[in-house]
Parts: sequence; structure tokens; C-alpha cells
Amino acid sequence: MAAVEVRPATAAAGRRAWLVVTEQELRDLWLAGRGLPLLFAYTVLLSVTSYLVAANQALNFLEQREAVSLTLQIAVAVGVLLVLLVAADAVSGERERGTLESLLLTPVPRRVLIVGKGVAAMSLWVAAWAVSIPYIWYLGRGVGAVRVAVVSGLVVGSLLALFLAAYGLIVSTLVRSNRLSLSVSLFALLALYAPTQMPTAVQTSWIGDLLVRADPIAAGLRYLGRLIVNAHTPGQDAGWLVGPVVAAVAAAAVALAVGGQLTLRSGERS
Amino acid sequence: MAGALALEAGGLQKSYGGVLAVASLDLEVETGTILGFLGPNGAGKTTVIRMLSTILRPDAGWFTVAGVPHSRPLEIRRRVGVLPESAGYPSGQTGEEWLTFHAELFGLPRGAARTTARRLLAEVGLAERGGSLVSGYSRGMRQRLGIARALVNDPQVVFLDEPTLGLDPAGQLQVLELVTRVAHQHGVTVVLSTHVLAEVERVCDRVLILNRGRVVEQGTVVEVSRRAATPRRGVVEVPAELRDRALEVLAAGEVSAVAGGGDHRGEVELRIPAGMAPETAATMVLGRLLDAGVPVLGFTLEGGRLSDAFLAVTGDV
Amino acid sequence: MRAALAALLLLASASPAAAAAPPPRPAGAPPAAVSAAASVALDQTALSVRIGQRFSFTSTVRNDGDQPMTGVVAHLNVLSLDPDVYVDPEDWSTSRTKYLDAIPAHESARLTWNVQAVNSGRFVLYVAVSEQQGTGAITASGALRLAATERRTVNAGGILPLAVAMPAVVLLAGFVARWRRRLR
Repeated sequence: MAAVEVRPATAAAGRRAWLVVTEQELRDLWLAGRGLPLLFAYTVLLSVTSYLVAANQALNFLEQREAVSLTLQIAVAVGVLLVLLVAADAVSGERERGTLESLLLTPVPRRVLIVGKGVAAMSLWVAAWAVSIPYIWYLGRGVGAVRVAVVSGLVVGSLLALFLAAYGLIVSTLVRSNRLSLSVSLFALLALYAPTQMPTAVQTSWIGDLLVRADPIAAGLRYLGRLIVNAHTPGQDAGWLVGPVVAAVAAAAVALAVGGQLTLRSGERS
Repeated sequence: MAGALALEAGGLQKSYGGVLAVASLDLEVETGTILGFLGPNGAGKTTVIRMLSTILRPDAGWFTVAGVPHSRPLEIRRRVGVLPESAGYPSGQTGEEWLTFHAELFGLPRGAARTTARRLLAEVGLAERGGSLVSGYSRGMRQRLGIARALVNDPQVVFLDEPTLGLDPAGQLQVLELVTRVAHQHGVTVVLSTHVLAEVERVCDRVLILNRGRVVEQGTVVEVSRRAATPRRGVVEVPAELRDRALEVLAAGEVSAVAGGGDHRGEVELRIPAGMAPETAATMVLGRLLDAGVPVLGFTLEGGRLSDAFLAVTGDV
Repeated sequence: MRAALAALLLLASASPAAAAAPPPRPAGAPPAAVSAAASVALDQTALSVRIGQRFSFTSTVRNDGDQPMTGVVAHLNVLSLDPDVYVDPEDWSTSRTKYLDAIPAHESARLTWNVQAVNSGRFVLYVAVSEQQGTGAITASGALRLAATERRTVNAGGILPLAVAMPAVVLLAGFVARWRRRLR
């Protein structure tokens, strides 16, 4: 039999695949999806929190810094939670909606799909951070804490958002059910918040200190607190950022590795 | 190109947790063929399509698609189009947006991707609904959108997995006509996986029947029908008053004849013995009756349809 | 004989007084506290600031003895004159303990202290110095009297427009996005 004529594949003359995927994911999230409703809920939470904080009539200097710190930590903690919610739905949601196979049938590398979904999830953190700036400005303008709060919040929040986006994608890729993916992701997040609720005596013990430092969420929030409330310099407590940095980098690497093996499962509908 | 193979496979095998879904499948499909892919539920049709479209990795065996070996899955994906069974569609996008997106994923610049999307929407009859959200599409419209999506990269081989599933008869007809038109206009090789035997008879050049992960029959529709379910019964109609004469004439032959049980009193039922070709039996019966001066008002052979072949080779009764 | 003895006695009584004479101090500075060898002086005695304001002052640790002074540790303390105001010194300054190199005899070392007034009210700041790594005497400086006035910068009424506007903006954006999609 003569060899079949191999027509040249469609020329890759368009935009890079990751850009196409990212743009589509962003459109799906913000124009047709849950992005704006989640952001609305987030702003309501910040509004309530900041109003209650500002309503404290006996606010002295230190308490105002604590008010800024409280609002900032809520902004970061809830902002990265939104990232996790979106990332945990990214792949398992496609499986359940039956749209995953169409994506897998394209010549786009699996990792590119994961990157596009990760960027879309992290866009929620960027929006949350931007929306939190007016609140931080209002509460912190009298005590010179605005710039440090905004910048440190961006740095710490971005590290935590990257960590949780990657973690959510890992779970979403490995788990078949969307409900299970969300459950596992939220449970892990609650576990990461737990060390922040330990009694002070435990936190200051060596084991408590180790736990807090190893927990990227707890370490990141502790760093913010020291920066704002204790007026430490950014470099003074930089050791607290080791946990978030390591967690973010490691999780991102694992997410890319796992995402590269993305496939349909046996018996799975398209 | 005549005689060139669009699909080739040897020893393809796939198991799911110890259950053999596809067992040593061999396949050759010539370019330009519309191949009907038949089999009962769980026969392995979708698994074969997913392997050939590189969604699933086979446990053993090899295959080439459009001349590209299975070791180059990205190349294969650029050359195939697939309408998956029960494919889902994003509810928040329009048909045009969704097709444009997929065209871009195959490397088209945005402008060309949009043009391609609009052309394909017109081709599948969705030109006026391309700007509407997919969530508002009917089942038939979604299937047509899926076919458009399978053509977005100008493929050489198209896999359609149950394209008429869930459609009413009119919708099924529309889709089949679309499939035929697309195959001829685009010059693509089509693999049509379906339960509906009439679709295969209507549209397909060749048919392949799977059962329990193995190929049990393949060939043209006529070849498969005859080979797997040779007609063994027939009915000849004669004037009612000459039926007894006809029975008398045919009694001496190898084809047994009995009076028919239908309403028409001139019916004579025939039993063709094993080993005798239906054509031979027909010639013998008609010749004897005509020689005896018995007019033949009608003659049909029962069996020999694809459905009979399907049931025969898959063991379903 | 008696005159010579009286002169000797006068001389003997005059020397310790001379030896105990305080060292010269900078003009305008408060009298220094004195121990056997060390003395600590501040460059200011009083200061008025607003709550949150940062300021600095200098302390001079002088070795009045004939031997080098080693193991010197200086520590800043803040105390409130108002019993209702709780002072956490950690909040006022992050660097409240300084370890000095050995101070040669009759030499001095200057230390600058950076402080932020994080409470309002009346306070006293002072520097305590220990020698020989705590085995020697503790010497304290004079007091720097600080008055920090209150300043309220946040009120609930002011934040209300912001608290309402932000969710409203996001809600509006959502409606616009949905309306545009429905038009398709």
C-alpha cells in the first residue's frame, strides 16, 4: 500500500497556546463565571470588617495598627481562599461538565492547560488585592501603615495564592469528582489555618514555632502582623517568608508535573 | 490517494483494572472511506476511538493515523477531528466563540480562527445561531456544533462517536446528511461509531463490528451482511388457486417449501438448505415454477440484512 | 607641729572630694547619675510629640574610672505615669538593648535611640547601663519626660461611603457583564 500523503499540520502561526488558553480561562471566569460574584462577596466581607473596626471609638495608635493588620490579614486569607475555590474546580469541573476531552484533543501540551487555569485562578487574588487597597488606605492613612500594608500584602498574598492555586490544581487533576476536589481542598486550607488559632503559649514554644514557620499560611500572616503591628522592617522578619516561598515553588512544580499527565479516566464520559 | 491507508492498527490492546476492553485489534481503513463502527454496549468502540485519537494510551500494539505513528500524539491530534460521545459544551460561550477558541488552539491566528468558525457554522447550518450562547442550543444543534468543532483543524480523519445519540428521526437524518456531505466535500476519512444499523447501511462504505473488544466482522456492508447472516428463508407469491401446484412442483427440489401462514393464500415459504447460495436457491425455485407454468407474483429473501449480521456475530437475540 | 598635722588633715579630706568631683558635662544637659565608674547622660530632658510620631535622642555613657569598662550593656526603658495606660516597650522601640565595646578609662560612648510613641499620655524614658556583664553596678540616666498627645484618625461615619461603594461597584460590573451576555 502506498504511504498516505501527510498534509502539513495546521501552521502554528497564531498566538502562543498558553496565551490563548489563559485568555479563554479569564473570560470564562470573569465574564461568564463566578469571578464577579465571588469578588462581590469578598468586598461585602471587607466592608463589614472595616466598618466594625472603624467603629471602635477608643481607637488609639496601636489599636489602629492592629485594625489595619486585622483587615489586611482577612483580605489576604479570604483572597487566597477564592483562588483555591477556583483552582479546585479547574480540572474536575471540566470532567464533570464533559468539556475536558475536547481540550485534550487539541495539540496543546497538558501543562499549558494547567498554566492557563492557574493564571485564571490567581487573577482572583489580584482583583481581591486591588479591591482591598481602598480599605487599607482608609484605615491606615493616619498611622503611616498604608504603603507597607499594601506592598507586604501583595507579596505575601501572591506567594500564598500561588501555593493554593497549585495545590487546588493538583487535587482537581487527581480527583474525578468536583465535590471531592472542593472538599479536600477546603479541608486542607482549614488545617493550614489551624496553627494561627493556637494559644500564644503554644505558638511561642519551639514546636509551636516550628509548626507556624512550616505552615505557609500561618507564617505569612505572622509576617504581616509583625510588619504592621510591631512596625518591623521587611527584612527583620524575612525568615517567616521561607515557608511560603518554599511551599509556592514546590506546589507549582508538582502541579506542572501532575498536570503533564492529565488524561481521561476509565469509564469517564467525555 | 487511492489505496492509501488513513488508519492502520495492529495488536491494539487496552485494559481497565484487569478488565480487557480491547483485545488485539487490527485495523486498516483506506483514505476517503466512511467506516461504520458497530458493536453492542461495552464492546470497546469508544476505547478504540480514544486510543486512535491519542486520548488514551494503549497497553500494547501500534497504530498510525494519516501516516503519523502513535509515538507522535501531538502530530496525530493536529490531523484528526473528534466528536466525542456525550460531549459537553461550555454554557457561557457562544458557538462562534467556542469554535474560534478551538481553532486558535490548533494554531490559527485569531482572525483566521474567527473566519473558520463562521464558515463551519454555516456549513453545519448554525450560521444564524453562532452568536447565541451554547446553553440555548437544542440537542441537535449541539451535535452539529460538535461536528463543526471536529472539522476546525481541517482534519484528515474524523471520528464521530454516536453523533445521532438522543436525536429525533429528523435530527438523525440531518446529521447523517451532514456527515455524508462533509466526508465528500472535505475528502476526509470518517469513522462513524453508532448503534443505529440503518445509519451504517445508509451512509457507510465499510463496516467493522466489535464485540467484547475484538473485531468479529469487517468489510463492505453487503459483504458483512451476506457473510455473517446468509439469507436462509424466503417467500414466493403465486396465484392462490395455484399454490398447491407450486408446492407440488417444489417438493422434489432441494429447497423445502410449505404453505405460508400469512393472509395471502398464495404465499409459499421457502427454507434454503445450508451450503446453498441464496442466488442459487432463487434461480432454482423460480425456474421450476415458471417451467411448470405457475406465475410468480413476488419473491423475497428474508435475512441477509446488516441487523441480522450484527445479531449473528454479537450473539444478541 | 599642730599646724602641719592640720594641713595634712586638710589635704587628706580635700583629695577624696576632688576625686569625687563630677566630670564636666555638656552645656544644658541634666546632671548625670553617677556610680563608681559609669555615668549616663541624656541629651534631652523633655519632649512633646503626637501619638505615632517617631523621635530619637542620644545617651552618653562615660567611663569615669581608671580602668577600661568592659561588658557594658545599655537598655532603654519606658514607663507610664498614668496607671491606666499599659506600655509594651517592644512596641516603642525594636532595638532597646545595645552591647558596647569596652570603654577606655575616662572615655565615653554615644548611643542613639530611635523610638515611636505608640500610646498617648505622660511617660518617662531612661537608659540603664550595667557593667562587667551584669556583675557590676547598674547605673541609670536621668529622665526624659515625654508627653504624647492623642490623635484620632478613623471614624465609622467616614468609612461608610467606602464600605457601600465598593460592593456596589462590583455588583454593577456583574450586572453589566450579564446584560451584555444576554444580548447575544
